[in-house]
Formats: sequence, C-alpha cells, structure tokens
Amino acid sequence: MTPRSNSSIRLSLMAVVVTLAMPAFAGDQTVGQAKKAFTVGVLKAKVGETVTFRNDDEFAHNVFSLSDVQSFDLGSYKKGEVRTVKLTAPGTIEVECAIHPEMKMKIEVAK
Amino acid sequence: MSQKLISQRISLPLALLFGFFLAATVVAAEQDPWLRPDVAPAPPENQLTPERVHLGLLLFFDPRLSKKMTMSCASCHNPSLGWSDGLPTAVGFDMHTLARATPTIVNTSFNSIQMWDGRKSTLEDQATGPIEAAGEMNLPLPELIERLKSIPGYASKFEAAYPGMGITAVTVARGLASFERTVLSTESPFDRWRKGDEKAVSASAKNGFELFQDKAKCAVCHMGYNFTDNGFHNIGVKDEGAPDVGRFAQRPLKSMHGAFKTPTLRDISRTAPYMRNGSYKTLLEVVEHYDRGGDVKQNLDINMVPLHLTASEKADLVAFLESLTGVPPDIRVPSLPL
Amino acid sequence: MKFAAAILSLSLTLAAPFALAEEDVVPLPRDTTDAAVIRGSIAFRTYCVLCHGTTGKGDGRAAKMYTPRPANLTVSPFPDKYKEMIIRGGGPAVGRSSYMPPWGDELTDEQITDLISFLRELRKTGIPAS
Repeated sequence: MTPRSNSSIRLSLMAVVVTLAMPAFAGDQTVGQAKKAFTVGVLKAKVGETVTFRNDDEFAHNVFSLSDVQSFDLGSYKKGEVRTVKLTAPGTIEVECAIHPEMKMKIEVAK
Repeated sequence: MSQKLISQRISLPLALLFGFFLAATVVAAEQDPWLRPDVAPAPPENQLTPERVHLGLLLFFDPRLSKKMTMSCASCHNPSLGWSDGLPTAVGFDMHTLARATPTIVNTSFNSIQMWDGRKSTLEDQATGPIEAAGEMNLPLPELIERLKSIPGYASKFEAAYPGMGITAVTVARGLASFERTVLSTESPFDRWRKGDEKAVSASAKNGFELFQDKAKCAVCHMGYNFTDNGFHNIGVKDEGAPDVGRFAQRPLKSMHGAFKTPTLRDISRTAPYMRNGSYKTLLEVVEHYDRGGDVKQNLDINMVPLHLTASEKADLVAFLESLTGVPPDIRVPSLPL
Repeated sequence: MKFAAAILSLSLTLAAPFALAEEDVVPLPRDTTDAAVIRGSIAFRTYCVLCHGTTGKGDGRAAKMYTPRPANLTVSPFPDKYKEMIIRGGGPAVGRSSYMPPWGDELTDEQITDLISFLRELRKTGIPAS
C-alpha cells in the first residue's frame, strides 16, 4: 500500500472509534413507542443518565416500572409527547406500558 | 456470448422477479389487518387435536364441574346467547349476582391477555379459575379431580387427548383451552365486504367504518381483526355501587384505576347488554356513551373525548357494528360421559 | 426470629419423609398458626407488597403515587372481621378509598383466612423477618 492510503485508513479508523465512543458520553437516550412496541428491546445505560420515552403512536401510552431497582410511573401521554426518567440505581429495570401489557423492554443500568 | 444467451440470462431472472412480486402481492392481499386468521394460535405443549377439542367440549358443557352440579362453563358462556349469558352481570353460585358481565369467548384465543382485569394471560391459565372461584362454580380443584376420576367414561377421553398425563388440573385446563380455540367468529357481512363484495354491507355501514377509524376514534382501541388492542382503558362507565377498580388490582398505577380490557366487537349484536356491567341495552346507547366522552370523568383515559356526532353518523356507526356479526354455527351439545 | 424458626421447622418436617425409609414415615403437623402465617405471607408477597410494602408499613413501590397512602398494617387498629371485609370488598366496602381493590374474586377463602393470620402476626411483632 502507498503511504497515502495508510494515513487515510488511520483517519477513518479514528473517526469510527470516535463515533462509537460518543453514545457513552451522551447523558440521555431516547426510546420510542411505535406500533404498540418499544423501539429498543434492551437499553444499556448508567446511573445518573436519563432515558426519554417518546410516543410515536396514534394513541396514548403509559410507561412504568414496578421493579425493585427503581419504580416509576410516567403517566399517560399522547403522540409526540415525551417523558423522561433519571436512572438512580444500578440493576435491571423492567419497563412496561400499563395500557398495552404486551409492550415490554429492559433498561440495564450500570454503576 | 451469443445474443440468445444474453437475453435468456436477463429474462429468466426477470421472470423470477416478476413471479416473486406476484406472489408477494397475493400474500399481501391475504393479510388484510381487519380479517381474522384462519386458525387460532396454540402453544407447543397444547397443540390442537380432535381428541383434545372433544375432551374440552365435554368438560365445557359438564355441570358436574360445579359444587352443586348445576353450573357448567356453558351456563354463563352459552353458545345460544353469543357465548355469553344475555345478562347485565353474571349470576354465579347459589344465584348470586356478580360484579362484572360474562365476556364472550369468541376469538379469545387470539387475545394475549384474558379477563376484564387481565389477571390471566393464556386460556390454559384462565380455564380453571371460574371452577374454583367461590362466587362461581365453587368447586376446589382437588374435589374437581376426584369427581372426574369417579366418572368412568372420562378416563378414556383424557387418555386419548393427553396420553399418560392422567386427570389433573393441567389436563382439564388444556382440554378446555383446546375447545375454546375452536370458538371463532364466522364470516360476517363486513368480512365479505373486505374480501371484495361491495354489496355485502350498506352505504351507511361503509360510512360507519370510516367514522370508526376517524372521527369517532373507535379504532384507537378497537383495532385489528379482533377489534381489540388487548389493552386497558378507563372509559368512564358508571357503576351503580362502589366503583370497580379493574386492572388497578393487578397493576396499582393511577391510569389503571377503573381501567378494563378492550373487548372484541365481533358478533357484538349477539352479546347485549353492553359494557363490563351491562349498562347499555343497545349499540346506539353505547355510541352515545362515547359521544358524551364517557360519564365518570375521574381518571378517564386521555383518548376519551366528546365526539360531537350527528344523528346520522351515530346510525352509521351502529350499522357498521351490526355488520360485524356472522351466522353462528349450530353447536351440538354433547352427551356427557357416565 | 419466630418466623424463621417456623419456616425451618416446617421445611424440616416436609423434608423428613424423603430422608426416611417407608416404614418410618412421619405425618405432617396438623395445621398451626405458624403454618397459616407462612401461607399468608406468600399471598401477601404476591398481592399486597406493591402498595403496602414488604414490611406492611404502607411504603410499597407504588405507594407514593396515592393519597391517601396505603395503610400501615403494623399499627392497624381494626378487628379481623373488618380486615376481611376490606380484603374481600375493597376500600369502598367499608367507606374508604377505592385505591384498595377488592380481592374477593381473586383469592380463595383459605388465602384470605391465612392473610388475616399473617396480618395479626404483623401487628404483634411489627416487622416480620424477611
């Protein structure tokens, strides 16, 4: 390979590493509710971060958790609305929709 | 490469592609979201067999599954009355009136969750509940099993359905669930219309279906081929006495206080009176309930709002709802084992 | 302490038949208050802790969402019959909040009787050993 190809490869590798590393520094992640399902099945996050739930469906959803780790009730909200929860403890949070019990997802909260 | 070979190389893949698209459109056309699938789903451990369905049929119609041998599943889930009982709320053990209406069992095999408050998930889970409930058939399960074992005719039926498993609460529940999986809605005028027969329903019903999905917002909850989202909503139904908290007992969340499962609308003409406590005698009264935005405004589902429907729109909605009822098959009540 | 001892003795008695030869079968104890309390604690854990909390003080995970708060069962002044009415018919049966749902349709008579035994124990000892 020519020296020019080497440096361009290194540059693109760095770009990939940076973009992969970025979500780890973002404080908030978004989970959509669409077609009566959560858009993410298992979300990995850290204590102190926030998770924003956004309703993309034509009808209301009510996201909640009654897990030992952390319990919350975000109430019913309509299309386009968002609700945010701040993660306060490590562990696995089982999240459901009160209105549609088939909708389930997990948040794995690391320290 | 010769000219002929090149054109063959292009046209064969093209033909295959065309064939795939054709097949895809045929398949896509069959998946009309408002048409019921042909077969009900069954779990791997309880796949449908004729023996299992027959066992379930016998158990379903057998009043010896109740303490005083007076009530069978079919007493409340009566095939002659749309698999319900035509009463505002169910009547149970010793003729006590219960708090909630008997749901129909039509298409319950397509539901992901069972009962008004969703406390059971599968048909197998739910089946023995009414048998042992003190207010209903009032027969504790150990006594049920003893009684079934004391009826010689049942042994061969259980053995044919569940070889080697004997007569247990599990096989009773599985048998009942297998029978329930055969209680499905039949083709209605609405279905024939969806399949292409423009004359199957009136213009009023067609407009009703538009309103159902749009202005009247019904499809927000009553969606899909079984007209339910399998979800829980407080629609502001008035209770005569103490308020029924519904799903709240299973999930103590504010939105679930007074929330109940969306029932199917198939065969709805056959299951009056309507709502979980039989409040309304006619479908028009039901439509008017929604037009008002419900009656008990406390903790109402946020999808419930006054609709401002005209009289003719209400009539159209009723016409559409009536088009959801098919001709039920005549069911042969079995001779029970002795 | 008494709780843990009861569980231990019950499990030992249940385990005994498996450890002994057929001729040495030990009959299970006749029903005791301890056994009822244990059974009641299982029903409590399944149906009641979400609102009333694991120690029954009315501090369950769902409790903070409601006014009035779920009752603190460790200091409840009501007689057994009253508690039974609430369990069966919910709050409205005794003129109280409908946030206490009726359980009459869902629990068997035996479960309700055992719950009453468990609630008595909660009142006496304050905090049951978990």
